[in-house]
Amino acid sequence: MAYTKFGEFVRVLRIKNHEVMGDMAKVLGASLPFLSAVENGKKNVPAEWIEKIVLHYNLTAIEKQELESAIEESRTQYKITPIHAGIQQRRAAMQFARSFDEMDDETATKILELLSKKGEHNN
Amino acid sequence: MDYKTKPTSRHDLRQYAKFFRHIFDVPETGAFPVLEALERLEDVFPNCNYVIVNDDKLPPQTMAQCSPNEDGGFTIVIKETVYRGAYENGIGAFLGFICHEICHVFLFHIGFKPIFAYSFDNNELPAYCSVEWQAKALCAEVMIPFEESHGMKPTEIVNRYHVSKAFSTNRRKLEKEGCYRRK
Repeated sequence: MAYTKFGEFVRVLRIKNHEVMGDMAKVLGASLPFLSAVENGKKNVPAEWIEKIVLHYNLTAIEKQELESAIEESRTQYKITPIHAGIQQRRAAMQFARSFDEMDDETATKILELLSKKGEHNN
Repeated sequence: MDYKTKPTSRHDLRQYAKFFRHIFDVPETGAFPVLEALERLEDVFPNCNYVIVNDDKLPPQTMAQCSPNEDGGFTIVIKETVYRGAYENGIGAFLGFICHEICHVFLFHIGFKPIFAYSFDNNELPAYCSVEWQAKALCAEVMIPFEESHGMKPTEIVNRYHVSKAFSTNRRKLEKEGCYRRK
């Protein structure tokens, strides 16, 4: 069980600012177990935390970008909103989502490359 | 539950305590900043981290525990009440519970690993080769620096080092018994 990118980012922020997790939980208005679960990748980072962290730690624009990138890399859940999709499209989306867990990094990279090439052709 | 490890003495643990403070960049005197050290756990011991969990995630008698994790390090699991008590009120016993777990990680890293895969009951092993006693004794040496605390009354020890009354009275008891003779 390692820290996520977000967990590592905020841990370093705390150390730089002579704070501990208890201080950060207060800043974010979060319970300690919830913050801890987020840092360890058990829960997603709530969107409203970004501005709270930026303000409290006085982050620069570049640091804010790094924070957002760390949050994106730490996501454990993605929301699909298939409002305009039909039954078959929804089934396909769910099937596609289920296959992620068993996919190794190499396969995932190759699929991303193919999707990227497909995007280039379409453009 | 306890595990058998290679033997050591309180005198040696006292020396390790100085090194322990040093690796966390903490001076040899004054209170040990347990929660700050907890933040730095991964910097000092690769692949080691901590999590705070709702109280019902650990057995009633367990305040915190240290277990091997999937990354080859250790994860210290701490009850919310324990962390909160340490953070908000500086409760010595709670700071001690957390420091005790960090001591387990440290001792493992310097070679005090369990000799057997099976465990023993509490108090079944001689203190000198008990993983639990070693962590407890090291924790006391880390939190109450030997040189500086020599001759202090228990209340002074509690106030200066933010430790429990039990820790402070035990220190005085050992000092009276001669366990703390300067060598």
